[in-house]
Amino acid sequence: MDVVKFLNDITGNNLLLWKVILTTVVFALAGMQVFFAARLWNVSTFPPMSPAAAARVHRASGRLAVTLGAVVAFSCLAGPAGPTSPTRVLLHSIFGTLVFVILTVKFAVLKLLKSGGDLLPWIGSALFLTFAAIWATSVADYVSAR
Amino acid sequence: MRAFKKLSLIVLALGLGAAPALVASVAPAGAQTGGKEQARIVSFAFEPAERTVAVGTTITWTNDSDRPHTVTDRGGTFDTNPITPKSTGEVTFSAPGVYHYFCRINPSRMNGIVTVTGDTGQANVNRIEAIDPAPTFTGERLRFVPNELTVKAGSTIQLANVGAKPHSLTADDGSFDTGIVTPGAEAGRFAGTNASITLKAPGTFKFHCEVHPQAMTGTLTVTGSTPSGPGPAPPSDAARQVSVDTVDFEFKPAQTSVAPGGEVTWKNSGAAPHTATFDDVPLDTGTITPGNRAKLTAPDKPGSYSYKCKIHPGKMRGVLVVVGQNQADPTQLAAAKATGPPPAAAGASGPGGGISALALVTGVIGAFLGGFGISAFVRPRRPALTSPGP
Repeated sequence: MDVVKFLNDITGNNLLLWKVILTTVVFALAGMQVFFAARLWNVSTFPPMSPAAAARVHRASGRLAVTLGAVVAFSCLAGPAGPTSPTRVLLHSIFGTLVFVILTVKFAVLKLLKSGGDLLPWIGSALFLTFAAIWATSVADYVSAR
Repeated sequence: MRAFKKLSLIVLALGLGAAPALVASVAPAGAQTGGKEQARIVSFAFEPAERTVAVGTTITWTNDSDRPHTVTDRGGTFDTNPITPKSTGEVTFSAPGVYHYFCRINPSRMNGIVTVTGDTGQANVNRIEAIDPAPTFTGERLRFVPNELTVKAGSTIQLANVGAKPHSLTADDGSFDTGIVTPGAEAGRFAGTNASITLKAPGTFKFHCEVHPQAMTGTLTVTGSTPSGPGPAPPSDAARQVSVDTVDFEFKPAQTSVAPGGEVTWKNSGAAPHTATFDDVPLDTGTITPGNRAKLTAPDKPGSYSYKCKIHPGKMRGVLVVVGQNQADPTQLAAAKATGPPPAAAGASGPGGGISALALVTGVIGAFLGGFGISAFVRPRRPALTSPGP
């Protein structure tokens, strides 16, 4: 199966552009995750909404981020990238793998410890910073290389 | 959560189910009659990747992808330089032979072959490729392509090393020898080099590679009579003195032709110090400070010699082509030129420019939101963490 051709076709030969858009959306959603987590954990009074409402937004944006992140990850694994620097590709691969490792840890903590106690804010922050690193090693490279 | 699972399954099913219907194989094009041909560059692929054209054909590649790409000879005779999205690059194929080409920005993924057909017995220049099991040639073996050729006396054979190992084209009786032709950098991932010989006397000549004498052999049949003339041919059609402008951060022009033993001057017109340091021969201008110039004597052996600035090796690279006697200038032989608009700057107008700006702005918003959230968690005055309520 020519996955590269398939991905090119469904994106109108703009595969990288679509990856850039989706990666940026995922990064923004990751920022929203931490932002609303701060509200639901009651460590911030902004935005002016109840912690329960913040929790709903947190979960919805999280599901969307994971779904889009999985789509981007699939195209990264199956399709091409812009190897302008082997170091960039290496770092991007490490951070990309790390995201799913941290996600696994987070869900494991949620399921095994039920609440997660003090761990979840740190795991969430680490997840956001890893998304930031992924964005920096892909979108920033794409934008600067144009 | 159930809706999330359903959405994931739908995305996966759409991806896996629709893929086979969109797969298309790229078959080599049939032989053409020369003139002009069109080809495309899509995201990380040449279309068609393989084609056969008549000698003298000009192929125009249109970049329909969203990234710059090049069309570069693995044997080092032509390079379009980056073709920006929606622009075109042209290469004219004047010598019969096989041309493995690639994109030097994406050297492992983007490869293609152009086979140039024509009467080798009438051509002034013929090309032979030296191929080996380089990582870019899966399943290949050591060989010359073609390994049997009939040419006319006085014509030139150009040996292009497209593989990962050094090769030569050497007559068994010693009547000609290209010397060792070095491969491309990173085990042939990048463009190799080439060398030329002129066949003066008619006859049948067995040849081999000095490095792989058992595996790489062939036969050249030279027809006609020894060319006679009023006197020796000029050493080269190329200039004996050339100049390269060194700016921040490129060599202008990036590819220059010079006669064997000619004088090459690099003038630093930039604000930073630069060098012209050759990769495969011990030639180095040393540091040229801004406003100054440095001279080097070109090698006597014809071929393409790559060089770089030692101070900015990632940005500044150039090629010096030493054009030998009776040898066609590869820079003219395969006149490659890129046309079209200049590359779009980030955030500026042009293909994807607006998207780039939007991506940056959205990224900054994401960073702000995340930073705000993290700072709320790490503030010393935060209350004791408790599990969120349902």
